[in-house]
Amino acid sequence: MLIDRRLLSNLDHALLVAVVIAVLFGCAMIYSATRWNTRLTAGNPLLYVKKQLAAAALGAAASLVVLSVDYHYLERFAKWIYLASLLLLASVFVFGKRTKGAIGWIKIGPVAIQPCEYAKIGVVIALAAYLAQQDDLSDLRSFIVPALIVAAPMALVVAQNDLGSALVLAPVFFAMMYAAGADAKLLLAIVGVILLVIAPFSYFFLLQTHQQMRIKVFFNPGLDPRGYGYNVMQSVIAIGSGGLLGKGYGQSTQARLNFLPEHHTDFIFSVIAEELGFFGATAALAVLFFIVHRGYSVAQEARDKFGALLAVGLTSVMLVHIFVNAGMTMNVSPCTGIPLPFFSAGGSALMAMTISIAIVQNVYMRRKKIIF
Amino acid sequence: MMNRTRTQSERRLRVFQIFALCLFLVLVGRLWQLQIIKGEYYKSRATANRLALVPISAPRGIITDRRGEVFATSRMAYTISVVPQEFSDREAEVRLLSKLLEMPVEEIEAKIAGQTEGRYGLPYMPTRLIEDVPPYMLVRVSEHKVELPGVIIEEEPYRSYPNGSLAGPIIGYVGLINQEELARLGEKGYQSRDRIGKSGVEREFEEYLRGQDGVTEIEVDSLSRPVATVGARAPVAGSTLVMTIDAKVQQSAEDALRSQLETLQSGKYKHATAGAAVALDPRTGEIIAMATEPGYDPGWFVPRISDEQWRQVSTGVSGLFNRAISGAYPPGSTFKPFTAIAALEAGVIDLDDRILCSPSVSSRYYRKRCSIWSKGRSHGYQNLTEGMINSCNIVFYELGARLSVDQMASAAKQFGLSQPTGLRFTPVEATGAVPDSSVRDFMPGELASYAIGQQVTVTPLQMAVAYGGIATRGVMYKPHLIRQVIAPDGTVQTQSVPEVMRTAVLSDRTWDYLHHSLSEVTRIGTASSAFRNFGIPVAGKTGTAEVPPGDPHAWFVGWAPADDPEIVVAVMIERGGGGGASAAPVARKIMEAYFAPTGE
Repeated sequence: MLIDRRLLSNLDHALLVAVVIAVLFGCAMIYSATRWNTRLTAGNPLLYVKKQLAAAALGAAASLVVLSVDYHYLERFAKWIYLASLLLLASVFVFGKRTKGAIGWIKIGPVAIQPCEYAKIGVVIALAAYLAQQDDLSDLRSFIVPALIVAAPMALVVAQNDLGSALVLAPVFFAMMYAAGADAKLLLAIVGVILLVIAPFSYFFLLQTHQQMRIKVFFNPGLDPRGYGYNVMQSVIAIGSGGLLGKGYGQSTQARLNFLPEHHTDFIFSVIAEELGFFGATAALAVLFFIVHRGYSVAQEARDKFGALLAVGLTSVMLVHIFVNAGMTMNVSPCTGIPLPFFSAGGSALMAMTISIAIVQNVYMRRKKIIF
Repeated sequence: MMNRTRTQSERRLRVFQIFALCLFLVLVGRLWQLQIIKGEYYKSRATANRLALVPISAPRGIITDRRGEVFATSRMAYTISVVPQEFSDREAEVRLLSKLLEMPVEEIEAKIAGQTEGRYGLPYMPTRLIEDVPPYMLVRVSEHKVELPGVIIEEEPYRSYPNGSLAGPIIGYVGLINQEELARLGEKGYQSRDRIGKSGVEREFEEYLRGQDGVTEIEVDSLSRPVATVGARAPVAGSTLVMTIDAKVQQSAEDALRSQLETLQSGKYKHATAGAAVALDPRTGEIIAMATEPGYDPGWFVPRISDEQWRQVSTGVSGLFNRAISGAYPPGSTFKPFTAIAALEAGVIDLDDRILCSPSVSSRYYRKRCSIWSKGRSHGYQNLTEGMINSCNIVFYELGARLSVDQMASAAKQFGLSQPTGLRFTPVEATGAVPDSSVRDFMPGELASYAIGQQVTVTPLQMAVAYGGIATRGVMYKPHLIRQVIAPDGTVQTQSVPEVMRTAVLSDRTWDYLHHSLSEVTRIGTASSAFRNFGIPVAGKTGTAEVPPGDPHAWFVGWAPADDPEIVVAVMIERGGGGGASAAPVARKIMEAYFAPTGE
């Protein structure tokens, strides 16, 4: 099953280059953030960079497979993909490993994978496939099935005690509904109800104390500077102290001296901002938002509705990750364990993102009828 | 229809682009706010995170006598501390420490626990286990250094007083700063761990003696583990104070006073347990010696005084009370020169006038007596000079009858009695009291006792200054203890110059009378036995101040050489009996030490 050369030449090269830049940029920062930390790297300063590059290589290989298959097969097998995603999520309850209160990992041999990163792709595919068939999304009844498609995996992720990852799917749902032509007023009304009624209700009656604290600390980081507010406060100090030009590559003090926790994963953006300053951090954001921009452009150019929805959904997942993660480091969004796409150290997230990009490229490649 | 959906979909997809752009701008805007607008603030926060400033105590300045004899200096003391984060095997290390330091494990753990509460961002601060460790313990810990990565030995200057209790009450002592001092001096950079002069020169000249603490900047990680030393500022020692005190004279003053007290106690005067002596140069105001008994050794307060020693110095006849400066006593007959001054200046008596001293005249003086009557003798007819030489009370009762209280008071005040001498010292000197008619009315009998110094109080220092004024014929210098302040780099920071505090203007006849009669006191008068064969003419006056019901206070105040004054000495012994027998011999020994050839 070879890919036609001409098909490859139809790739979105700008998008490809941007992703490569983001991954390499990320590796450079991961190296800077971990090389001095012998407890983390066990004496091998390149350990995390190697892991990241391996994940990127695996992701590239998987991407080639994805590219070779016309994305319309995804539509045809959407039900099975969805079911597989749910099973993958459920498997965590059987094989799962608990880290920091959440059980989101399963270990296969030496590799730990995070099913929820992959499941997001499956959910987007299923939702796109379903919505592509719907012409009329103007009443509440037509929202029920798509909502259930998203709610089931969300429930499973919530049950894994990973509320943050679950909530990522909510904006993705609305984005895809909107793109699919759902009644805008109705969507707005639902968002309003969620924000004004369900969110406060959940906060007071459903959230656990530690989750409530995360929210409280978001509104007032000084509330618990040595506890829940610590990470965000140290991150804000790291970013702010970077100034215009930063402290220089490898010169962070907040990360190097461990004031900043999780500096190679969740808080990699803080390291960028501390070491490379406003220019470096803006550059990183620019690369990421360029990827998002290209993703939405692919949706605009897609040959059909399924392709467009696929691109919108996968790009929106990325956008939410970027905004929530970078926002978290600057106390613009609440603290969750969501990684920064392409930058944060973490194999599953990187591979899932690479595969998402491959699917978007797939849509782009086949935007026109190909004449042999 | 198909076309409509198509355009709607295109429009909606464009919304995503715009929405993404908005989010991008929000994030960049926030970056701008944090990094550019508030960048400096967060830089300082990051620095505060990163750097622990560990102070290095500066040694206090040295205090020497006028010849450079060291009275107070600093020695290096060693403190054993632990940095709990640095322990590799905490339990084993604490157990080993407990053995080496002879300190129970629980006590060590309790000290550590006092400093390590909370989770993040503990300040870097070693827990001090033992201060000023004895050398053998220091050696033991050093030998096990490899097994004790969490233990550090800190060096710290401690005050040391090589001369022990000599001049102790002048030097004063140093102690840990208290809350009140911290509140008052906090803005001068004092911190709660600092030591500060509490009394004496140590306190009064704290500003010069205090050094400038240095600091070591240690980079620490989030668990306050030291990572590296990134900077240091060396401490600057305090300035050296050169006192006006002459160690040799000081030593003899203390020895003479102490041995005289012992002699008196073993003899007739069981309660003679305290006394004071002041020697100063009447030409400059420099204090040559100042003794107060009992005294104390400032070394007792390093690093802190034991409860037992504190009880010893602070209760009963307290060593912390500087009698030379803070004690106000009735001067007794040493007041008589001032009565004579008032009488001569007022013209109420001629030098030729004779007054009869005999028990038969007692009724005229309200049944008051002359001290000689108890020996079965009397002075007979006396002129004013003889009255002074023999310290005849009747002569002065007569003056008391002829003078008003204000005339006597103003003569005394002209020489500074009842006023501060201006000495810079802590605690502030007592002023004593010279009451006049503005205070109350005096009965005629009280005026008689006023004339012999029983109605006023003075400090030994005031008397030394006042007699210095007589010796110099009217010029009184501000007494002082410090000659020079020398900065650590050797330059003279402050040099004290003689400062005239007050002048007394009297007729030459009165000055001549005073010099003549007071010189005769030590030759043929009440102090003659004390100064027999002294070699250098001395002028002075004895005093025996009645303080019923106990024994009287013994006084002698005088200067030498009588015709060319270099030193004036005031000696006062509480409950010491007669001034001529008890106080004058002490004064003589002080003068002997002063005039002895230095041998250099």
